[in-house]
Amino acid sequence: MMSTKNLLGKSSLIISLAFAVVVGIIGFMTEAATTAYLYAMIELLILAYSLNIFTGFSGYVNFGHVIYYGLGAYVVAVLAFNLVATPLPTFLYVIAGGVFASLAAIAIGFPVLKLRGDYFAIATLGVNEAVKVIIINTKQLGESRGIAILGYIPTYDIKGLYAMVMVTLFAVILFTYFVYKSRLGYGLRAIKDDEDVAEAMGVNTRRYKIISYSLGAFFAGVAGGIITLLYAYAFPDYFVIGRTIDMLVALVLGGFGTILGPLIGSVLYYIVKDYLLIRFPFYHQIIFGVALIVLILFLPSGIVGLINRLLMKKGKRFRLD
Amino acid sequence: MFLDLLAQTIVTGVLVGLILSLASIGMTIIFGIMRIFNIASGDLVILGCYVIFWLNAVFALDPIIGFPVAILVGAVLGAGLYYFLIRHIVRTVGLRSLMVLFGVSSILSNSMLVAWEPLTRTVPVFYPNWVVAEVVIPGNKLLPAIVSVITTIVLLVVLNYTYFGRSIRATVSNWKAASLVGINVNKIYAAGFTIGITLTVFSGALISLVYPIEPYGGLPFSLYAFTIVILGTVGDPVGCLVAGLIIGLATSFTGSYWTQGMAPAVSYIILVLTFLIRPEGLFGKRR
Amino acid sequence: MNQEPILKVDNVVKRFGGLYALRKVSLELERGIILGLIGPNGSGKTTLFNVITGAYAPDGGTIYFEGEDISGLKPHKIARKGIGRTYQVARPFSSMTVEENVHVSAAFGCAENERSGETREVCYNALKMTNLESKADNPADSLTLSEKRRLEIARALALRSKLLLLDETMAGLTPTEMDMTLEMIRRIKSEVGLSIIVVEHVMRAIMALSERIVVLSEGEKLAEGSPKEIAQNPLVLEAYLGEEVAE
Repeated sequence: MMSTKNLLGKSSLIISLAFAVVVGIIGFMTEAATTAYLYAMIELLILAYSLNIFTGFSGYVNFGHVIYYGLGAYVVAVLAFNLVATPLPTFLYVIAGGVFASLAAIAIGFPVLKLRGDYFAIATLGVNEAVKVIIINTKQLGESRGIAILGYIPTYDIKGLYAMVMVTLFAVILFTYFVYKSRLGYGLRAIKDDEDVAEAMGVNTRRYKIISYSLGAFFAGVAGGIITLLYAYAFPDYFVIGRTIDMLVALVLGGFGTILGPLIGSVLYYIVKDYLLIRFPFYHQIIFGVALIVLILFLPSGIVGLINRLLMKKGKRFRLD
Repeated sequence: MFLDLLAQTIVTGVLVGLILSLASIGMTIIFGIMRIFNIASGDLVILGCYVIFWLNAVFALDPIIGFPVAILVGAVLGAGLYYFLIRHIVRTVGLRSLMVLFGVSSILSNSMLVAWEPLTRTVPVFYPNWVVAEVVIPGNKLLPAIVSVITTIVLLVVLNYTYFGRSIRATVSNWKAASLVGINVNKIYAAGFTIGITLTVFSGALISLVYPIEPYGGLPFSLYAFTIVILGTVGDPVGCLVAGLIIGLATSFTGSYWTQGMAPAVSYIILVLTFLIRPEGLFGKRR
Repeated sequence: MNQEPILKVDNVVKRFGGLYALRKVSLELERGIILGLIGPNGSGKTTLFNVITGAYAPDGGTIYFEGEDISGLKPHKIARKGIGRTYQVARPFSSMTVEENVHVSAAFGCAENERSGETREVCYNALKMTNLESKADNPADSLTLSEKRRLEIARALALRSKLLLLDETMAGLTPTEMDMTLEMIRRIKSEVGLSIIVVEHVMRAIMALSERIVVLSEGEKLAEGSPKEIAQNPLVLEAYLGEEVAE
């Protein structure tokens, strides 16, 4: 389908999967505390990859991705709560969360994706906050306290959920690769370069934007569903803007629209953040605000972009993806 | 009874609307001149709130005395931000500036978190309330609303009757043409940005009399500002006033006849609808 | 062969706010003809292109392509029906190579390509016809201006378009490059059997290339005829008074 110059697309996939395998094995074999540490990192990876499917490939900055994480979480809580008499295996709840999130994304994306650039970004912010406010004001959804489902689900140990989240990570990495190599990915890259021209060349921009937006939402929803199982609790803080910053900084750091970008960015960001959280609690967010600004101004294509520029300088004719 | 509630709702709505419109005028000038959406505006509002709170809590100063301090803080911050950061991203692709300001917003809100702790603060006010025919006109809302209107009038005078003001309007219209007729566009950017930030922080000082203060409370105000700016048409201060009134009334009616909690959501939905249905605003020309 | 005009623009109106960019413009293009579209700056030429290709919806009037009403259709649908265009300012997809650029329109813009599985071949032919095969793997950004212009044409060719809209292809080219481009356009037209509308400010190119010319001024059709007739039309000369006419 596409030019064979990006031979390294496959290598990036293998590297990412290999990393996932290594982290997976470590997570299973160590004690619970480390598993929990790794769990949070994997979750950030999933969110970064899922955001990358839309924002990375199409170039549309999305400030509201985290609502799909939250919606997935709430769906699982509501299902667990209401189906307590006839409980289903919990992974089905999680998948339902993902599906609901992607359907919500189609519904929201339909109008909102008519907008471009900054207008779109701000509208996603508005939608994000609107959903949060609506949930906080709905009695059935626990208002600001949220929904507790302790006792409504089988008690999972961290390892069981770790397995679930690893499966999701594998899925999202493979998905990213396939989108990247597919017609969809190709069309999205054209849209990113020049949406009007892409449309004049026959790309159905609207359809592709909505599809990638909705796919990204699916994985975010799944991640949200699993976290609900972990904490046995779904609450409005899942929608908080801090997570958006996490995802965005991780993506900018690693490099938008690539396969290795979300991996490198998230891992680095997570390790640094955890370190800073322990040494300078509260100040770490300030440091990340500064980091975001510095990155956007001086390294907008992230670490992967930097590596590519160095490779080109050395005269190598391939690109890292 | 029904009329009382209605009258009260309208009064509250108008007052709140006037106050919110001042918070948006800064943004509409900045966006009008340099096409940058100030996502950090809500946090600047909160900063203004904290200035008043701090002066009041530490030095027992009456809020009104704090107003000039807030203006000063705003001016210094605005000029500093422009000089060190913003002038490098003027006229670049819009999304970069959005992310940069997102970073600024994060820096501001978390700095305030560190400085003033995550507690909710209020500024105690003892302004008298007027009561007119069973309708309460709260003093703590009336004063800011009046100051807001006065400030807007002063701004309109400047924009329409001074060379400086007209240069700003010309730049909003068409910066290339403006530079061709000898306007130093870079100076306009610097001045306009600084004024915009100053107004935003100052509006925070007013808002501190009405709303509780939290370090992360900026986002709703940013979104209110976006709604008012877009609805009122970018770059148009009078439009801001009108749109501010609309939003003020909308939130007030939601509060009275539905629940207070949903008021922000209504405003956000108006934002998205405006983007979709009438992105040029109430007074804009159709594209 | 079908004698119906391939394109019929019928009283098309386009407004921007209170400003009329096109006031009831009508024209017809027969198959296999090169039509020149000229007029002073701001007369509505690019707007007309944008309306034909679906970037703008007309505020009045209709556009018929091969007898079918295409007014207000989305651009990607119009591309698939067989209308291709180039842009005044060359806009290649900057993150892609030359070949990938052409591949986009080949893959997305032409249902026939998908069905027949000839996408690769179509790309190759498009590059060959525009003398770009040697640069196929180069990043699109690295091309010279003249090459970028040719890339724009290659992209439109890969759509297997029946109608090609060329927007100021000659602007900024040296006389040699211009002659090469003129020759290339003529060759393409005869080999592929295209109908072409050319917008140009360079008089020499338009007079040499066009079989018929339409003149627009302030959104209205001022005159229409053969190049010779147009060159002698007093109204046209008046519209251009004060404009530098490149010879």
